Amino acid sequence: MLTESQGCAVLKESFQAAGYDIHDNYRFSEGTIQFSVDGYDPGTRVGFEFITTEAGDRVELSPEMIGQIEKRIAQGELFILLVDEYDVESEAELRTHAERFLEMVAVHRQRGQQE
Amino acid sequence: MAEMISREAYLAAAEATKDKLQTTLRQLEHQQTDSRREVSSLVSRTETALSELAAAILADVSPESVDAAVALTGCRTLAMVNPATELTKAQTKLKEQLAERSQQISARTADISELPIFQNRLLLRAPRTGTLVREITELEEFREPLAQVLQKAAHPRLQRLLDVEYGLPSYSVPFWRLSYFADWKAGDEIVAGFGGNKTFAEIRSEYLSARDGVGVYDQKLSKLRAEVAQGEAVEREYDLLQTEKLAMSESRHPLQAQLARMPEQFLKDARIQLERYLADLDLVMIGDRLQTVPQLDVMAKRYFGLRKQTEYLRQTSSQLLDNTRPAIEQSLARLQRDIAKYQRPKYAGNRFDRDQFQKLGDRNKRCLDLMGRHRQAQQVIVSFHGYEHGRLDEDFLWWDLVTDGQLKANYIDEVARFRALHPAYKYRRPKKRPAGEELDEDGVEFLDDDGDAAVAVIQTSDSFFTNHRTDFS
Repeated sequence: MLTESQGCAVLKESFQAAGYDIHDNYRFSEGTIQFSVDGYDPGTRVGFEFITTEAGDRVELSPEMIGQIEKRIAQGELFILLVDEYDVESEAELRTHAERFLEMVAVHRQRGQQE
Repeated sequence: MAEMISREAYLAAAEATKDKLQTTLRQLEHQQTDSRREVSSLVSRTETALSELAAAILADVSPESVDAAVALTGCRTLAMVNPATELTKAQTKLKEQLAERSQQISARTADISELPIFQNRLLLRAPRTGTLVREITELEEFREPLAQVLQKAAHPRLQRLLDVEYGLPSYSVPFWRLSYFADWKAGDEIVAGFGGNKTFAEIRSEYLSARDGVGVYDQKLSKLRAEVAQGEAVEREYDLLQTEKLAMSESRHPLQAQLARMPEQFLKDARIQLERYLADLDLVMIGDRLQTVPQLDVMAKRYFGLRKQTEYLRQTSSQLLDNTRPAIEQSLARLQRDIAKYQRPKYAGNRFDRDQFQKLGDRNKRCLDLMGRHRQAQQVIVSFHGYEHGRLDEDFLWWDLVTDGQLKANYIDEVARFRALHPAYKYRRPKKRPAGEELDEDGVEFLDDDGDAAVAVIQTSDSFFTNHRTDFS
C-alpha cells in the first residue's frame, strides 16, 4: 500500500507529464463542494485526489461529497481522479491507472471542445 | 537438691541432647518407612494367598464346583447369582447371536448376488473395458478442452468482469472510478492469457460456453461416478460377508472367540466374588468345614496367617513407632525454642536445673527401647512361615504361633481381648517333628507363659527355627 506522499508524487508526475499545471493541495470551493484537492490544475479543471486515512481524507470526503464530485465529472464540468489507497498496490499500477485516466480525459475534453 | 549449672553449660548440654533427639527421630522415620514397606509386602503376599485359595476352592464354573464352594464357604453371592447358571444363559444367548448372524450373512449375500450392479460388475466396472469406466473416460476427454478454457481464463477479477459485462457495449462503469481501470487491467491480462488475438467479448463468449459445457459434463460424470461407487461398495460388502462366513466356518469369528473365552471369564469373575467374600470373612467361622479338605485347610491357614501377620505388624508399628513420634518431636521443638531463648544476652547470668536433661535423656531412651522392640517384633512377624501349625478356631491365638509365644503384645487388640477371654490360657508350642517320626497325639508342648518376661527378648528355640525363615545369625 502506498503512503499519501508516495501516491501524490506518482500522480503529480503523471499529470505534469500530460501537460497539466498541477497545484498542490488546491482549495476547491464551488457551491457545496468544498475540499482540499491533492493536485489540481485550475485552468483545465483537471486534478487528482489520493484518499488516505493518514491525511484525514475520509473525514473531509464523505460519500455524499464524492457523489456530488462524480456528478460534476459526469456532466463534464471537471475531471478529478479519485484513488483510494486500498485500491492500488504499487506505484506502477497507480501510474498505469493515471495514464489511462488522462487519456480518457483528453478524449472527453476534445469531444467537449468540438461540441 | 537440684544441681544448678551456668548458661553456657546449659546451652552445651541442650545442644548435645538436641543432637541425640534428632538422631533418634531420623532413625524413627527410617524405621517407619521400613515398616510400611514390610506391611505392603505382607499385603501383597496376602492377596496372592487369597487368590490361590479362591482358585483352589472354585476350580471351575461347573454347577458341582459352584455348589461345593458355596457349601464350604457359605458365600451367598455365588448361591444367589450362580455363575454356572449365568454362564449357561450367556452361552445360549451368544450361540443364538451367532446363528442369527450366520443367517444374516446368508440372506444378505443372496440379496447382493441378485443385484444387477453386482451381477454385471465386470461388464460395468472392469478397468478400461467396463461400460461405465469407458463412458467416464470418454466424457472426461470431451470435458478436457473446455476445462482448459476455464483454466486459461482463471483470474481473481473474472467473475466481476462477467457481472459488469466488461467488453460489451452495456459495460457502464464510468472512467473516473478506479474500478474502471482495474477492470481494464484485468481484462488485458485475461486476453493476454489467450494469446492476445481475441477480444475480451470473444473470450467471454467462449468462456461462458465452456462453463456451460463443463457443467453438463460434470453432472453426467458425477452420476456415473456415483454409480461406480455404489457398485464398488456392494462388492466390498459382499467380500466382507464372505470373509466373515469363512471365519465362522474356521471358528475364527469374534463371537466364537468370545464364546470360547466365556467360561474362563466367568470363572475369573466368580473367583473375584469369592475373594471379596473371603477377605471379609473370619475364616474361624468355616474352620471346621475347611478342616475336612486338608489341601484347602493348609491354604486357608496360610492366607489367614498372612492376614494376621499384616495386622500384627500394622498395629505394632502404630503403637510402638507412630505413637512415640509426637513426644520426641515435641521435646525437640521445646528444646530448640529454649536454646534460641537462652542464647539472648539478658539470660547471661541465669542458672539452670540440670535435671531436665536427665528427663529428656530418659524419654529418648524409652523411645529407643520401643524402636528396638518394634525391630525385633517386625523381624519375627515377617519371617514367620509355619502356617500349618495354626488352627482356625476360637481358642487359638495366632500371635503366639507367629512369635512362638516369646513376645508379649497387649497393645494388640486381638491379643489383649484373647487373654481377657482366656485367663487360664497357656501357649502350646507345636512340637518339633523328628526326622522320619510322627508327632505325638496332640503334636504340641506347653510353654510357661511368663507374663512379666521382658518383651524385647527373643529366645531362639528349635520351634522358632521351624516356624521362621529369617537368618538371625
